[in-house]
Amino acid sequence: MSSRKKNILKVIILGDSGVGKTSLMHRYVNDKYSQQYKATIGADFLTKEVNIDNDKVATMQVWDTAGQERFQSLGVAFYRGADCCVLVYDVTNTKSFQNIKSWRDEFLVHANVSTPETFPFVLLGNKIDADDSKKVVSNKAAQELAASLGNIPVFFTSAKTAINVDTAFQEIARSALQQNQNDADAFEDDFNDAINIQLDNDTNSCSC
Amino acid sequence: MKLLLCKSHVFVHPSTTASENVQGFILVTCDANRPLHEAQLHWVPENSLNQNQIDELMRCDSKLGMPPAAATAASLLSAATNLNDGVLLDTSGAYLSFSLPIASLFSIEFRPPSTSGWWFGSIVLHRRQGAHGGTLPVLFFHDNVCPSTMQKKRDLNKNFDPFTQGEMYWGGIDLRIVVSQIVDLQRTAADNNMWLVNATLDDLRNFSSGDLPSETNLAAEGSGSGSKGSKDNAPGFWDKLEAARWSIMSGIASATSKTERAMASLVSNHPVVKLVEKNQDNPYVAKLLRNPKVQEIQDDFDSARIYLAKWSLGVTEEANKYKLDHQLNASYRQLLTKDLGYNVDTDADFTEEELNRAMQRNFPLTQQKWDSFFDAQGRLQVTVHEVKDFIFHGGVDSMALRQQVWLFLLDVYPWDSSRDERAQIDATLEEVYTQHKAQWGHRTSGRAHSADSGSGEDDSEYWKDQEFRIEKDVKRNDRSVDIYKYNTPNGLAPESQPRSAMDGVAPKIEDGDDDNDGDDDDDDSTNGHWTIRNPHLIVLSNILKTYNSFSPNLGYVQGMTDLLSPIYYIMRDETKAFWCFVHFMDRMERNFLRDQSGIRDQMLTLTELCQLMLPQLSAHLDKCDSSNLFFCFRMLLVWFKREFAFDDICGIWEVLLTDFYSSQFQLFFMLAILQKNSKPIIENLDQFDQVIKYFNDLHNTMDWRDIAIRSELLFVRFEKMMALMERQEELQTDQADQAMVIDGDNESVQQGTVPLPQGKRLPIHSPLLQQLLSKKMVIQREETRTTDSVR
Repeated sequence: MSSRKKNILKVIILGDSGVGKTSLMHRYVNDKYSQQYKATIGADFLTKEVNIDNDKVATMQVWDTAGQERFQSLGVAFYRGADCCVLVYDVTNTKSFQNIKSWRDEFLVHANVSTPETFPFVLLGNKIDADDSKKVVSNKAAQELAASLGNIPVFFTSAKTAINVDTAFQEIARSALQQNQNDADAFEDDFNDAINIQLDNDTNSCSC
Repeated sequence: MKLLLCKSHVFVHPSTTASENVQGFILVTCDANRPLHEAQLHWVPENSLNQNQIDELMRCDSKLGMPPAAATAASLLSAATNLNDGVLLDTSGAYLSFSLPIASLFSIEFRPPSTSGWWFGSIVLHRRQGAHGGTLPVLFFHDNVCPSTMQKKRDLNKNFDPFTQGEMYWGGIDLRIVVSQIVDLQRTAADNNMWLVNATLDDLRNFSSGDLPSETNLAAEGSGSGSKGSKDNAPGFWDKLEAARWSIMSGIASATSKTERAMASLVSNHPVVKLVEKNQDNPYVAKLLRNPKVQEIQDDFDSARIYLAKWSLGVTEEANKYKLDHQLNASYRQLLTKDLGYNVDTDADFTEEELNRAMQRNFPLTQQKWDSFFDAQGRLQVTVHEVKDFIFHGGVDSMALRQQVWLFLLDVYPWDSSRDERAQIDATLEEVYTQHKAQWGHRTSGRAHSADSGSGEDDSEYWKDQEFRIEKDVKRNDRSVDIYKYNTPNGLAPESQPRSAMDGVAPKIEDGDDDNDGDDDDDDSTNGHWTIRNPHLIVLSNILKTYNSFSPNLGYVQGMTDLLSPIYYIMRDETKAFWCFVHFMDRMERNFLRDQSGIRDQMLTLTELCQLMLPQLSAHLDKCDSSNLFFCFRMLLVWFKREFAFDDICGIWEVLLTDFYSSQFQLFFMLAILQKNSKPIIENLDQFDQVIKYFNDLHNTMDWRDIAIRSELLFVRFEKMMALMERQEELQTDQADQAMVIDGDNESVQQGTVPLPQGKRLPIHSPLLQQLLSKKMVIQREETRTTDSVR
């Protein structure tokens, strides 16, 4: 109805089960933490008003998903219209780090984004409050991975002690807003193209 | 022989002359080697006893004559004294004396004394149809001379509590307290003094006039009353009952005819009902939506709509509760008919009987009733259908009883097994479980390669990952439930731990935020890197790991912890819980397949069902891009576990496990949830994400009994619609055939019926919908796991 969809930024959180996707979402949106979030089944989201660079206000819709691989096939419906995808691994779990790339690929296959090359991803290494002895993924490895995935931003966070969560989501919001506007522009350009196509055809749209 | 109850000064009045009254004792006894539900009731006349025996029984009267109202089977047994068999032998032939198993009674009438003291309280015993022996004498309780009754009266007066509106105490109450622990005793609504002993569900339904039978029902009963054989045994009883019923009926009839208006206004003037009345067309919501402030919120983001949708549902819910609480069954009935019966041919309307059956959920399966189902060998002596009827319509009374019943419901015990056979099954299952458990224990302890399921590096990694996943999920499952709450070696709160047990506990972490939920008062150290100490969590983890290797193709999948946790909570036994879980998974495996085909099938079935049964909602969901019903995924996957309280889940699952109407009754339960919420959804929500949010937040907002009633009625309607369509199609095929024969004067053909749309598939042809009519469990198995299978 009426005025919907103005500035709703849609963000999807992906990653192996137990890396802290639900916790990150709750920490960011409600500034709360509990040990007792059950394993997510299906998908859920929370919304938060964000103020980006003290300049723009938008509503962010943070989507939390199930971590077990087999549940992804039914859940792709909610990938549609995403403005940013957050990839999360657990710094104490190598496997979750190794799987990051396949989460990204999975997303691109199903989300049907207009420009896969430039679609914003953000990488989060969660649980950095853990004992150093438990940490098995180095920051360096993470940075290398981020670079190889197209220089995407990387943050080391703790949903439990709130380290870096806000900073990371500020960046996520910024990327999402950018993407959202690109898409809107692209849409408008397409629209204009459709109108102007017979007048001239030299407009080419990619403002990135 | 154990004596459970002894009450003195219980008289038989053979004539109207007081001097002919015979004084005696009421005794309840139980053979020391027999189960309690075989206990016997005796009346022995004092004149057949010697003075020693009388003295002995008088002592018993003061000791056993005043059982506390909260007595349990256990407390009765522990209080019982031994009775010399001589008392019963000596009196066995005495005038008027009798002994009989309590379970052989059909009903007991407890007639309280008059408040003025004009007449004594009395009990009338009615034998079950076909039971031997003549009419039993009415027993009168002379309270004013009975020591135990006098004593209890004094005690009660001392603790007089004006706010308990309990019934007046008299001697018969003590008998009722004891008998109600031995057999299932249910008061009838038609006659408040009448209590049925181990009644069948049909009897309970017939005797509860809480619902208002229609005239057709009464007529049918009138003509069929001759078939009720017990009538011959106790004519007075039946006449009285019939009279009571008729007076109730005529009372209502006159009330409705004369003061229909007054009654209606009584109902509609209740503030909550008024609110709902208005809410029917949703002007409150509409008005609120017009409010500029709300408009503003809505412009910002339409979460306000979800809020309003919930709010309007909440109001309706309140009103329904009010109606239920106040026994305004008639209006609840109207509501149900209106909600569920609309837009259907009259053929598919509900009959009174169908409505009554669905709405009458007040007779849970009690321990006493359950015991009465089995014969001396512990073999079921009623039909499985009857047991399931009880469970489906009233649920199981207590967690303790579930421990027995669920083993049958989940097919661990065959319904036709004897007690000895079950003991044998227990032993076998114990042995086999230990073997399976040893398998993964073996693997984790290093020697990785199991011969049966492939080998190699990848495989050992698979097992490691799976066990890691299991532990992770166990640690975060149902941790608010009492037994799973504290990670301490005995599962109790840390404060109550002995000092030594506290030593290994990691220090509580500082959360850094002030508005801590208060529910994470766990001793867990950082980020899930903690060892499970709670004994119940350890068992959950053991069972899941064993299942993971027991079922190598499927293995552990997220959501299974949700399924196991109530089962273990009920069973409290690792082996039994494991086998219950294995059998439950036979049914639930289809929810967890790698390719998701099983859950997809159910969602497709539900979509078709919704199109057929709730076309308006179906069309609206289409508009919201929600026709795939993705928002039902969680509810279907773990059978509503996340939407209802833990206790409710046990009630819901046992309804679903009966396969009473359909082996996929969960889809009707889901459909009822959709139906229940359809109005607020249609009026307030219009986007995919709003719909998801709405359903994800349903937790603790629904009364599951209401949903269960609706599910049953929806099924009944569905079944009728399918039958109707089938008939109609047959009719048309016949006519088409005739048309072929006659060919020529085709003007007359196809008069009366609407031609079926050509080429359009009718719902009756849908294999998915057809399958809903089957009670046979749908089983879909996982395919063989390979190293590159999806996890």
